[in-house]
Amino acid sequence: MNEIAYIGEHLAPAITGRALIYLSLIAGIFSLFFYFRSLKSGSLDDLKQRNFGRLFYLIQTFSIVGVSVALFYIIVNHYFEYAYAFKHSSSLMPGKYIISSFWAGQEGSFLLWALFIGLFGIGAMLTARKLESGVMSIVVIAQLILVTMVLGLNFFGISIGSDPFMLLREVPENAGLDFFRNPDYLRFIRDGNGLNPLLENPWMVIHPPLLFMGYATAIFPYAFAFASLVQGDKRYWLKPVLPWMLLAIGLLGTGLLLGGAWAYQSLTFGGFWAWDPVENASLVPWMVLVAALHYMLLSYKRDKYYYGTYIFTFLGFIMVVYASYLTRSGVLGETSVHAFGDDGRSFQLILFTVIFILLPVWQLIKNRKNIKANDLPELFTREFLMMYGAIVMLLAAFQVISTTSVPVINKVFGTNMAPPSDVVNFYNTWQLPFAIMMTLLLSVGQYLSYGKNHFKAFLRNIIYPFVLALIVAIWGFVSDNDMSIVHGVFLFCIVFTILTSVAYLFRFASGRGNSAAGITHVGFGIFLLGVLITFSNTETLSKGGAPGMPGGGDNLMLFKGMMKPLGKYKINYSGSKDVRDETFHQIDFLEEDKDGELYHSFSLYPSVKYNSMMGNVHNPDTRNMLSGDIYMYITFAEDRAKRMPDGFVYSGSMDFALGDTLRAGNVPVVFDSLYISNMSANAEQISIVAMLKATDSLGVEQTYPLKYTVNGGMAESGVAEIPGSGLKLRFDKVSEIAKTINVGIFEQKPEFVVVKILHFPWIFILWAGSIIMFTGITVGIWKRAVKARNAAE
Amino acid sequence: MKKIHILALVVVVAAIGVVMSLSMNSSTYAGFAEAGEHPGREYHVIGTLSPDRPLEYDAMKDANSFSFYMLDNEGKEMLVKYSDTKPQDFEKLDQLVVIGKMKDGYFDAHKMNLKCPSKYNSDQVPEGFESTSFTGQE
Repeated sequence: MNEIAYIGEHLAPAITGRALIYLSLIAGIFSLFFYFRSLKSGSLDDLKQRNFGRLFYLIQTFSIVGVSVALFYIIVNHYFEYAYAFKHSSSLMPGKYIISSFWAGQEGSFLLWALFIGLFGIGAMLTARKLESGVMSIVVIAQLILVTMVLGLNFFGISIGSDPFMLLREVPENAGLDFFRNPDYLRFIRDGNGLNPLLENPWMVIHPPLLFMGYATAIFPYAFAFASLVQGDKRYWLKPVLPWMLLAIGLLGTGLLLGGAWAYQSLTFGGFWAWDPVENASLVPWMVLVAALHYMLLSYKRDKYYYGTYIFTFLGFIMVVYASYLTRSGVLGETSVHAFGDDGRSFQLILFTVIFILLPVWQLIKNRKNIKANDLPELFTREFLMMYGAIVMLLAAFQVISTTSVPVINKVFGTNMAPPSDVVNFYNTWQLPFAIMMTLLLSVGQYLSYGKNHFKAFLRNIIYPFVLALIVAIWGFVSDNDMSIVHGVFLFCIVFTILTSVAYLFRFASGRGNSAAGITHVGFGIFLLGVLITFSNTETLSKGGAPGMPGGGDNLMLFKGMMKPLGKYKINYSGSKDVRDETFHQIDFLEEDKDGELYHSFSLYPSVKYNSMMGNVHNPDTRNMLSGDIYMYITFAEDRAKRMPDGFVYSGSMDFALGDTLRAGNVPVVFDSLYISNMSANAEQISIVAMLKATDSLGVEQTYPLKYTVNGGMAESGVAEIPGSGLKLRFDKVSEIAKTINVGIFEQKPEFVVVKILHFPWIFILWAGSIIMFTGITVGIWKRAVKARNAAE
Repeated sequence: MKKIHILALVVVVAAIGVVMSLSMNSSTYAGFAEAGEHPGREYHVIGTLSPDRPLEYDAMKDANSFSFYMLDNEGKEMLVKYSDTKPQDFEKLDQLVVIGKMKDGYFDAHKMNLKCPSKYNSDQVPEGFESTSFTGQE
């Protein structure tokens, strides 16, 4: 077979990109080598080894930057000869979303992860000082593994990673296609597949990078812990690691919340958290990191309990790696809506997990004499409560990850378990007791000091928030008839948490103390309050009962121009408007004023975005109000292509024989007679006229001609409206059967949409809590970073 | 015995509790035949749409009633009723999982997971490429 000289392909970015992938691997190996030697010599005086390690680390990092630039260059320039650009972007995409194409595929998202580790790693390299060699060894090992994910090497039938720079014609499925035998094939590829329309969303530009920054920074606590074990100093690392820990928690948490905000604003499951396996896979590392942070603070303050700190810290990043195995190996299969499919990376991801479990196990065993387990703290101390809080958090995380891992359990043990059928309820029921325990421990813990406490003084202080919280909880329980006792207890715990955290904040505001922790805990309490209020009172407004609705169900049928009552509103579907590929349906909400007069309160515009490649997307619309949001989306709409401008809807074509009766409409239509006229002398124009009979609204029989004209090879289909029947018929062609014509039937149908409408009461509390929480974390990062720097100087 | 051992024991017991509850609460994957034997139990049934069988959904009549025929992995055909709207692109899906219980002569699904072609792993070849031959243009 001869090589084909293809026309118009841009191969330079691929050559550069692939070369840089290999360069990053080689540089990584060298960096690891020199950092190892520096670690072995153990002396900071030997800066030569360390400097070589740094140099090669920088080469590795900037190679990864270069690979990313090359991939981005391909996408931005719409080089559709590349499979990645073809699969994940199109030239019709709005420019602001094109950046999302970068991480829409497996290769790009691994690159993004490596890119962020690389860049944050420079920060760690410059600030880790004594621990640098150990920290950077772990970072380089992770980078080496991540880069193999985009290697695209075939090794005796084993494929290692997949190449982001693969050309469309090199994709195995496309091998041997005639299409790619054409040297000029590129001319026929007009556009790429484009992004999944769900991802063409402002939230989706910001949510994934934040999440990946969280995943990337989560490696540093692990790396610091590992370095401290290798270097045999269990104390020194705690100060420099704390800002990293907080940074990872802050970034991952913000990423999670933005994902929730995206789901709430743009998805139609009606809520902001669905306990989907992919969501869980990023929640669990966050929970473990939060638990690890508290354990770490314990070791930092008391110079004890190192075993727990190490185990929790290592588990944090192990969970990140395991989560990426879950979501990216295809093992979740049909249990998740948005997991990636399997492309043979499973083995690499399992190896990644195993390596990152074995490394700390090895070091912990080696150092077991150095970090002996301490006995438990006394019951009535802050130590005890923090430790138990962390353990409860870990158990909560374990409950989530074990349920999410059902497909893995099935795979390993050959069982046939399915996930719980009511997933949301299952998790909520399980997580509630954990949350109650955690909030209680947190509340009490803030009124206790480390070491000895005087019970009477403690009681004297805590009685105020306790009683106040009890009053609020009882008031809430009495005023809300539907509230269960467990929710009542939870309400008490939440209010107790908020009050004790505020008190903690004020107690320490003047003197020394941890204002960051106070702010974060206040925010956490308010966030939980929002979750409890909003999601235990979410109401489906469109639920059954509405006039003309047989049966139950959550969907409401809205005919154009027909008002329907909905709670305190009356709603009216007043029309639709097409904007590019999206149809917006206007639903007006009217309210009664004091005199009983209706006035227009607001309108919502839920839409259907048409996309033939990936399927249509229904976008919800939300009215944000202080007392809660009204959220609405379309569950069913007619295909807009079938409705003619005159309001008639195409419902199908059929053969119509002479003498037959059509009963599709309100009155029968009879095919009465057929005429063929040959008007022009040279027979170039032929007209066929079918005469149809039907009774009109007055009961009088009327005749309607339906005409089909062929003029100089051009056919023209006539249309006849049959008043009273609600039909329009179009003469499409003459059938092969004698005396039979083929007609297209258009019915006069009222315009309608089917919608679901939900009410989320007081949801702003949830967002306010989140903002306060992350303000607290940000303050914490800042303070801890300053402390770490001052200590180092 | 040190207190740490008691703590470890408590944690292990709690963890076992979590796992136990998981196996009790989770439903199982099965075919329609097995689901029919236990009408009160929840099942996940994986399968495909029956070809050439109509999908019943008329928003004008009842916006909350959708029914269709499905073949499970053992090839058994069953009427499935779903009290919601017809999901978009339902005709095009590759595979679906219905979650619910067996009723008299039909499967009552309260939830469905649909596996559509070309969401994240779209075929590399654009639609219509195979059917269009470009060889003639050389």
